[in-house]
Order: sequence, then C-alpha cells, then structure tokens
Amino acid sequence: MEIFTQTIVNGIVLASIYILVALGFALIFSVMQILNFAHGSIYMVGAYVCYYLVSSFGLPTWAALLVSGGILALFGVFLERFGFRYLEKDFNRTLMFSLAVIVFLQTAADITVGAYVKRVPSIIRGLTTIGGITLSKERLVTCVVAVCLLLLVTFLIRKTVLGRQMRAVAQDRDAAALQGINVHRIAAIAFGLSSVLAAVAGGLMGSIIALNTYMGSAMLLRAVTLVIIAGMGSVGGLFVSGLIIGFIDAVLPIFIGGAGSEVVALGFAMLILLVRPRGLFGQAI
Amino acid sequence: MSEKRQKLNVKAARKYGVYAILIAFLLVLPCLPTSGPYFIHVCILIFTYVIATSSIRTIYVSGQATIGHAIFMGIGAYTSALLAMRLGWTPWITMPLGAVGAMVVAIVSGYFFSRTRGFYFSMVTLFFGVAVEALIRSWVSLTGGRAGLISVPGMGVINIPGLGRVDFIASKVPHYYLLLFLALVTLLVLYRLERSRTGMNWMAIAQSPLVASSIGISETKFRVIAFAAGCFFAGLAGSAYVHYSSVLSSSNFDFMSSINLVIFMLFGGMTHFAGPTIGVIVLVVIPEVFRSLRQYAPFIFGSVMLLVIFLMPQGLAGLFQIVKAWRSRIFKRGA
Amino acid sequence: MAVENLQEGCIEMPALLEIKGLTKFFGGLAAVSHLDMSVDEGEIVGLMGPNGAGKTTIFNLITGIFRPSSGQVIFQGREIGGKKPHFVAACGIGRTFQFAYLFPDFTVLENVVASFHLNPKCGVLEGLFNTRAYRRKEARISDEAMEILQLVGLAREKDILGRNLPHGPQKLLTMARALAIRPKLLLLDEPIGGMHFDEVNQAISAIERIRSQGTTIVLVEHNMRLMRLCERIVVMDFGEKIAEGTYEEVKSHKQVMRAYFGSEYVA
Repeated sequence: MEIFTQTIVNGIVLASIYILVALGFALIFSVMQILNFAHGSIYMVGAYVCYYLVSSFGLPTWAALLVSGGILALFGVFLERFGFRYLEKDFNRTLMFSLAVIVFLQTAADITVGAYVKRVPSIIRGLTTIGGITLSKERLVTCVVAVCLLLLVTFLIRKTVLGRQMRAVAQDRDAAALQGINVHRIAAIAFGLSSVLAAVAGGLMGSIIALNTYMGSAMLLRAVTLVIIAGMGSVGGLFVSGLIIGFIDAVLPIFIGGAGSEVVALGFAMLILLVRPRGLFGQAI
Repeated sequence: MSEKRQKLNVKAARKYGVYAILIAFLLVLPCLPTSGPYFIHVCILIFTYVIATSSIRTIYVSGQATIGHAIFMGIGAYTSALLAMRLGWTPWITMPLGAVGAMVVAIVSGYFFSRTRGFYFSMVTLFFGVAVEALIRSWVSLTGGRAGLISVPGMGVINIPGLGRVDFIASKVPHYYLLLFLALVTLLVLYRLERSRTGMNWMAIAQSPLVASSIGISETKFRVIAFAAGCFFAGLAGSAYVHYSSVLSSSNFDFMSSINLVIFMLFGGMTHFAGPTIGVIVLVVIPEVFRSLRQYAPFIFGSVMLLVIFLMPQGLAGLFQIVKAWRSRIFKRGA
Repeated sequence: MAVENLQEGCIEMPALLEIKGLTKFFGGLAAVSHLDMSVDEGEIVGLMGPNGAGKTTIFNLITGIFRPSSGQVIFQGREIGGKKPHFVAACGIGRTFQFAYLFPDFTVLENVVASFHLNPKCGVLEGLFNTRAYRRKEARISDEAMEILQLVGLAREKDILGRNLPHGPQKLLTMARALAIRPKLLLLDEPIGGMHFDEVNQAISAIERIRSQGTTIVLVEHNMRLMRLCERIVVMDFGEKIAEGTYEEVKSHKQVMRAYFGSEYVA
C-alpha cells in the first residue's frame, strides 16, 4: 500500500516536471515554429547552475532556482537574438544551430563538472503527513512549485495582452507583425520564458534525483514525446500527456525495467503519430 | 565527332581522371610510411561514416527527413554479430545479412512511416530510433543489454588466389581495403540510383507529392524504396564495422548518433552528392587533429559548425557553387 | 451513351467517363450533390459555374484526391472512385491544377521529363545499371518531352527553373506535364486563369492542337472564348448540376443566368 501511494506521488512529481519542460519546448515551437533541441541542454545547465549557486554561493534553494531561471532566461534571449533570428524559415540550419549549442553546453558541462554526480540540496527536508499519506516535503514542494509555475504561465498566455500577442504570432506571424506586434520582442520573451521553465525544472529535478550531464537529452526526448501526444498548439493537452508519461515512467519500471518503460512510452507516442498525427488534443492538420 | 561531343568527352575524361587518381591514392595510402595503425583506424572510421551519411542523404533526397538513421546501423550490426556469435556463421555471410536485416525492418517500418510527412515523419523516426535502442538495451538475454557484446568474430584469415593469405586479425590494413571497397560500391550504387529515373521520382515527391501523384508516381512506393535503400547501406556500415571493432553496444546507435549523421550531412551540404563525404572527412579529421586538446575538441567542432551555418548555408559543398560563381566573375572581367 | 447512328444500327459506345450520383460531403456541407454526367471519347466538355460551385471538387473526386461520399466514377468501364491519384493517372487521366503547381526545382524540360514516369516503364534496376536500353528510353523521352513543349509553346524556356517562370508559362507547363502521361482524358482546371491576351491565344491554340490529336478534354473555365470551344457545357451551382447543353442553349438558360447574375436581375 505504501509503495502504491509513493508510486502515485512519484508519478505526479515526474509529470509536473515533464510538463514544465514540455511547456517551454512547446512555447517556442508554437510561437516561433522552431524546434529548439537545445532546450534539454538548457534544462541541464539550469540544474547545474542551481547546484553551484547553492553549494558555492550558499543561496537558499528557492533563491537559487529564481536566479538560475533568470540567468538561463538571459541566455535564451541571447540565443534568439544572435542565433535563431537569422535562421528563421530554414529548418536545416536551425537544427544545426541548436545542435551546435548542445555541443557547446554539453562540453562545457563535462569539463567543469566532470563525471561526478551531484545533488541539489533539498528546498525543505522532512516528511509530512497529509490525509494519512506520508510524503516527503521535498516532493510536495516540487509539485506545488511546478503547478504554480504552470498555472502562472497558463494565465499569462490566456489572460494577458502579452499572451494574446504571443498567440497571434503563433497563428500567423506576418499578420501579427502587420498589426503592430513586435515579433522579435515576442520571440525573445518566448525564449526567455521557455528557458526559465527549463532551468527551474532542472533545479527541481536536481533536488529529487541526482544531476548528471546527460539528463538534458533524456528530458528533451520526454518533452518531445509529451508535445507529440498532446498535439501541437494544445497547452491543456500537455497536462494530460504529462500525467500519462509521468505515470508510465513511475509505474512501469517496477514491472518491466527502465528500458522497457521507455519502449512503452515511445511506442505509444509512435502510435499516436501514425494513427492520429494531430495528437490527442491538437488541432487538425 | 562533333565539337560538342568532343568537349563533353574531354570533360568526362577529366572527371574520371580525377576519380581514378583519387582512388589510386586511397589504394596506396596504407603502404605509405606515415600511415600508422591509428591513421588506418581513422580512415576506416571515415569510410564507415561515408557509407552511413551518403545513405541518409538518399533518404533525404526523397523528402524524408529521418533523424533516427543510426539505429539501422545498429540493427545491421546486431544482426550480423548475433548470427556470427550464436549460429557460428562466418562474418563474410553475416555481414551482407546484417544489411538485409536492416533493409527488411526499413521496408516494414518505412511503409507505416510513409503515412506521415514533414515534421511528423521526423518525429516518428526519432521515436523509432530511440525505442529500438531501448528495446535492444532491455533484451539482455539476446543482446547483452547495456553492456553489449564483446569478442564479435572478426573477418578471420582468408586465402585469395593470387594475393595469398589475407590476415584480418593481425593487421588493420585488410579492413581498410574492405571498407574502402564497400564505400566505393555504396557511393556508386547510390549515385546511379539518384541520377536515374528513380532519383528523379524521389526529387519529384520531395518537391510536391501532389503533383507527383497526378503524373502517376506512387508516393508510398518510392518513399519506401528510398528508405529501404538508405537503411540497407546503413546496416551494411554497421555490420562491416562491428566485425572490425569486435565490440558492440547499443549506446553507439542512440539519438545523438543519429543527429551526428545529420550534422555530417548538413555540414557537407545536402544538395551535392559528394556533400556528406566531404562533411565526414572534415568533421572526423578535426577532432583527430586537435586530439591533444581532447577535452576542448568539441568546442572547435562546434565553432566550425557555427561558421558553416552562418557563412555557408549550403554546407561545405556549397563551396563548389561559390567557386564557380567566383570563376565566372573573373572570366567575365577578362572578356 | 453516344449512339453513332441508330438508323445504321451501329453499336452503342459506352462513354469514356461516366459519373453517376456523385456526392461529396465536407462535414455537413455538400460540395457536390448527386451529379450525373458523362463524357464521350473525343469530346470537349466544359464545366462552368460560379466560384464554390464544386468544379474543382469534381476534378479532385475523379482523380482520387477526395473519396466520394457516395456515387460512382467510371472510366473506360472501370470504377475509379476512391482510388489513389497515381492509380488514376496510370489509368490515363491527366489533370492540371487551378494553382500552377509544378516542380519548382526542376527546369521546364525536367518537369516534363519527370512526367514520363508511366511510359515507357523504367524499372529501378534498369536505371541502376544504366543499361543501353535504359539510355535509349531516356533519350526518346527527352525528344518526346521537347515535342510536347513545342506543342504548348514553351520550347524556348526549356532550361528555366520552374520557380523562376512567370505565371502564364507556369500554367502552360502544367498542361505540358499533364500531356506527358499520354492521357486519354485531360482535365484542365482554369488553364488560362491569370494569363494575359497573348498567352491566352497561345493556350487556346495549344488546346486545339491537343484536341486534334484525339484527346478527350474536360475544361473548367470562366472565360467565354474557351467555353465556345466546347461541344457541350455542364453548369454547376452549389454542388448541383443546373444545366447542360451547347453554348447557345446554356447562355440563355434562366437558372444559369440566375446563378451568375442573381435572381433580382432574372425574371
């Protein structure tokens, strides 16, 4: 029984982190029509920056998350300004550029960090009991932070003027520009926001599970899986697909091992692609 | 002979002459005193990658942007290795069988994947590549799981009438010639396919499936042909290399390996047939040249990539165009 | 059904193309509704109607881009409704598109050469080994492609890339491409749309030449000059056939006038 509830909790925790990262990825994809494969590396770097802020600079973890998010946001804006902006409409070169960024970030991480596995100190230690279920405060806080962030972003997209501008650019870039929307500014904001989400997710994941320099590519794959299952342009769908994959990743490894659960998750995504390409909630192509 | 035919013949002779010199050079390369075993090893690596990247380009020519190509190298490698190890067959037979195995998988999966286009096709190939890799990793009894296989049988010792004993175990050089031969065959076959009507149909489908179908070209049929051909040679590359390196692990065929193949291809340039070959040579040589700075080599790698991305959108092979334009400008001035 | 001459007792020839009860729904909207139509061999039939009447949809239904919701499309006695486009092309139906779709990265000549895919049949292996037979086939294809280009009047532009062609020649190229499959039935969707006066003359003489070679043509156009070429005109409105007859008959048909001018102007 205990294992059962812990597994459920794990599923929710994983789901919320996956959704955070996937949201960032989907944001750039729908607003800019760019597949930012470097997203995974930003997630990884965000985690390590958070770690160093806590261990070397002694910041409390919550502050480290914020600062890490800020730093990576600036980096994201930088990438857009000096890289992606010049490569719009050319899928090949955008791909190559994001891969070049991965190469740089990955190598930098490998050199500075090395092979040692690190762990971001917990935001809060200890256990609590809610409704008879014992949880680690850690996981609870992670969920809460993730959910808050997700709600914040959803609110931003749905209810604010900026969000409406972003949705306009996502639908028709040229028409939005003709309406007076500064597309470049929106692009920068999208990249910045996406990077914040990734960095915070990295820091949160780093406190639950250890850090390693290859967490980026695994997470990227998860993010893409989520976006495919949910469908393009669907934010709400990401919540659902996040929960599906989160639970697959939490539950199945117990029965068929980690690699096996990967096969299942990917197989499911492939099935969606072949049978219903627009995803569970996406718009018809 | 008319003058025009004479001119064409001269051009053709020059082109073939250049190729003949190149091939002759490659043939004598291992005999040069400067070619130590490590150098030979790098050449073997280059030949293997040339096969793999030229084959992925063939798939791209038909309008299918696959990003899961490396796994077919893995399927070829594992098929060949397992047949040799478990059934005791000689690698000379299992190697082509590995390629065939990869092709069979490609035909089946390519057929289903051909229902998707563009971005969605790329995603399907990505997931397929990672899923199969995870499958290989999890099927420990068959494939040795994450640890992989070791002591995969090599090509052994054979007697070729006229050449005498050829020892694949003692030296790398026979492997060099074997892979050189396979690379040349691959390039020839893929080039001929592309220049023939089949290649034209591929380009037609890539440009406009709608128009192509209105003139009777079956999109599914030709997409599967391209996919199968490309994956056949990927499988060949994998199975040829595995009997050289005698170790095999699924981590060599993961997502990043597929992306590497795409990078090699894009870097060298996709428009030219020789593009991937150039890309492979440059991008394999650079980390080797800077081997002393082993850790920092990827930075140089990445910088070169950035250079090509921003300055040469058509990849290195785009240099041909640049040189041509430059030359014609010079000649115009002279005239 | 075309009856040669009842009095002489000739055999009744089945129509080249027969459409029975063809209906296509998009969601709740009937784009084409219970269409009955037939085209005999050697005819040139016009398909007219205001925009949105369903003319291009009919072409798409014939060539397999859409599946009929119900009804039949019978070509040379064979049911082709719902079959894949490349199959329909192989049966001998060629078409042009309203928007000048072509292969942008191929030259004009290559655009037409590519369309010779169906005949003669070239196998993958033949091309691979570059056999002498293959090379001869390709040379013949090149020659035939040039003939077609001359027929439509694009011979001079043969080396221009498809994407660099101006609009008029692009439409001529789509016609050339459709001809390359040696169709028995040619569906022309607004072949002179967007062309200026000289190009229109060129196109019309090309169509007349195609006609004289015995190809059956179905023509969608708004331009009356082209409609006068047709032996028979079918008029559509809101997916239904509202009139059929010669140019003179259709011109003064009340419902046709109502469709074009509105009921306020027609008694």
